[in-house]
Amino acid sequence: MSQAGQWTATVMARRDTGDYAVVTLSAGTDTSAARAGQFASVRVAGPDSALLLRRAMWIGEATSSGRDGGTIEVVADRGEPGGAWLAAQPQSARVDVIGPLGRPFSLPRDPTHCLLIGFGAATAALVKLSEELVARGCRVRFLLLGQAAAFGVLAARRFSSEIVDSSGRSIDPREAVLDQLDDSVEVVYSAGLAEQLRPLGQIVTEMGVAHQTAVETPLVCGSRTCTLCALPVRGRDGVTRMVRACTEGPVFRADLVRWDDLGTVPGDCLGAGEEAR
Amino acid sequence: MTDAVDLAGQLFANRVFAAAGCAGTGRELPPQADLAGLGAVITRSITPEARAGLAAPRLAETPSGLVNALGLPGPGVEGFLADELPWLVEHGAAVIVSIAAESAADYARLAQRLRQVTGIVAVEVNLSNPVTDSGRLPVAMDAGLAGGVVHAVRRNTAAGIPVLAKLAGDTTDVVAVARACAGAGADGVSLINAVRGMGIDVATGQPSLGAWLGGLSGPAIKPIALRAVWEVHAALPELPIIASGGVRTGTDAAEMMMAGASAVSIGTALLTDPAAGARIREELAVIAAQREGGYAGLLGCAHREVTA
Ligand SMILES: Cc1cc2nc3c(=O)[nH]c(=O)nc-3n(C[C@H](O)[C@H](O)[C@H](O)COP(=O)(O)OP(=O)(O)OC[C@H]3O[C@@H](n4cnc5c(N)ncnc54)[C@H](O)[C@@H]3O)c2cc1C
Ligand SMILES: Cc1cc2nc3c(=O)[nH]c(=O)nc-3n(C[C@H](O)[C@H](O)[C@H](O)COP(=O)(O)O)c2cc1C
Ligand code: FES
Repeated sequence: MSQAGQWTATVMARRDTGDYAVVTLSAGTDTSAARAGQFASVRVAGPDSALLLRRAMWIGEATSSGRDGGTIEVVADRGEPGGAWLAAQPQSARVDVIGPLGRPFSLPRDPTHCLLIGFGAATAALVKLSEELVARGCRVRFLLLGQAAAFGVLAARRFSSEIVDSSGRSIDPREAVLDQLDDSVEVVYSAGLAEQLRPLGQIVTEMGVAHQTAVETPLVCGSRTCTLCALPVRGRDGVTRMVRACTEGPVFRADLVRWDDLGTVPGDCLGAGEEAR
Repeated sequence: MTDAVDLAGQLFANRVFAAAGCAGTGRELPPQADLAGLGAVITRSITPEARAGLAAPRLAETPSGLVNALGLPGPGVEGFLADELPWLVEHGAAVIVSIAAESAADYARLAQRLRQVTGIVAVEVNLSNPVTDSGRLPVAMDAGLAGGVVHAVRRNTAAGIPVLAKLAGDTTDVVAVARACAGAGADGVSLINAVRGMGIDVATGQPSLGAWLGGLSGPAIKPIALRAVWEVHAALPELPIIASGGVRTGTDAAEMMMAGASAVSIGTALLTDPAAGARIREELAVIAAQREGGYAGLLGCAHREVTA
């Protein structure tokens, strides 16, 4: 699983928790190369369905061996048509999967104090991340926001005792983050929908804390070919380019994302304005 | 039975191509897409300059279809020739370069530039991008304009390199446009591009695409594509047709051939299943093998049976 592959997975197990279902899929291969922040692209329908597009799902915990050669866990939102389809699949159902896709979180070299901010299903990516961070001696604090995500609390407990669960509550995410962003926090990792992450992107940058963010944006092919997922992101050279969320992302340095310009092609972006000529 | 097909004097290994814009630059396709196993890879439409494309949202899903408004993002012709074409050729793809521009003169310049390089097996002239920079209707809606562009490209393209005109399915009289293009020197036509459409987001009360207008592709447009192929083949039986529009199985490909297509190209199906090309090729081969005359027996047979 070092390179993205396409395979027919079997549903090994399914656990319903609130609005989500945690679904374990056979990987048919060693999954140890899958990294936190990567995702799987799941065909959420049979071959004759009118739902054509695949759905991206964060890769949660992965096992690398066992009877069926490894598994991956994904968390499906039952409130969305695609997630509902996956959540309704019985054990031993077959599912067409491509993965692992996208650029993962990068890990600190030395033990670091990390704040992990997850919204809804995206918490699954952070649980996997916390496993990788703890293995490097990092201290991990969780802040859960967005739709109530009990699965996240359960899973996060295995890697951290510092869990602030504000999910399912209507609070200002900015205040919740500022409360947790004390001087001891050296790195912030976040994951969620672009519109959920936008307010955090700015405040964390203003506080001068390093911040990597895993962004859910509309994907189509999920596998680099269609360019329908492009977002404006500044490069290290200072030039803004439209980059593919599925390939150059979904994890970005939060200070490089043009949060205020999401959904647009900024005028100073490379190649912008050509279509107006 | 061989899968190979001669299209306007150019030999292709088989009849299942990747449609323009749906195989990325080729490099992105996962190995199961088997680039070299496709009859040809039609590139995304290459433009004179690099383009960032249109603002998001660039897509809306609809039952059996996808409405997209990309705005032809890409590196421009020089970037394409430097980075993308050599890679495709090296990896065994038969490359048809799709070109798009805003004026006949710019199309001609693109053709001149392509003439200077090797490794291209045909040029596809995209006359039918659903969203145009000027906001005007695509050139393919007007037989005179379409013929003018094709003439400019043909004049600037080496003999032996077929020029294919990519036409729209939502033209009032697709036969008139195909005839004008053939008269201007097109060696074949690609039918059809995505059909102009849109979506509305009820939550915002606004169009769901950034450009409001987009192109509908996928199984939803297959009947429109079949009709266009049928009409053009009936009127111009000698003109080779590459059919695209909702092909996702060998049966779909066979239907296109029966209506008059010599080959098919796969767009949306490649986005949802990178391995679709090889699967469709195999399914089509099974259908052709059961048919008297193989592939030739499929080509246009629906017309013969109607008139018999
Ligand atoms: C990297 C990534 C990881 C994800 N991980 C998970 C996960 O672990 N669990 C989970 O339940 N969901 C996840 N999602 C969201 C999921 O893929 C679907 O996009 C979402 O559930 C909406 O699905 P839908 O069936 O309502 O499709 P619709 O909203 O009808 O969308 C149809 C198509 O457009 C795309 N799309 C439209 N709007 C959005 C949007 N705001 N965000 C993303 N895609 C959109 C969809 O992917 C789909 O291809 C993830 C998305 C991304 C990009
Ligand atoms: C994401 C996407 C990008 C496309 N880009 C191009 C393009 O650059 N040039 C072009 O001529 N057609 C383009 N098309 C149209 C396809 O080549 C094809 O003709 C059309 O989608 C119908 O076929 P389908 O239903 O199999 O997708 C694009 C279609 C899609 C979905
Ligand atoms: S979703 Fe197709 S390129 Fe990113």
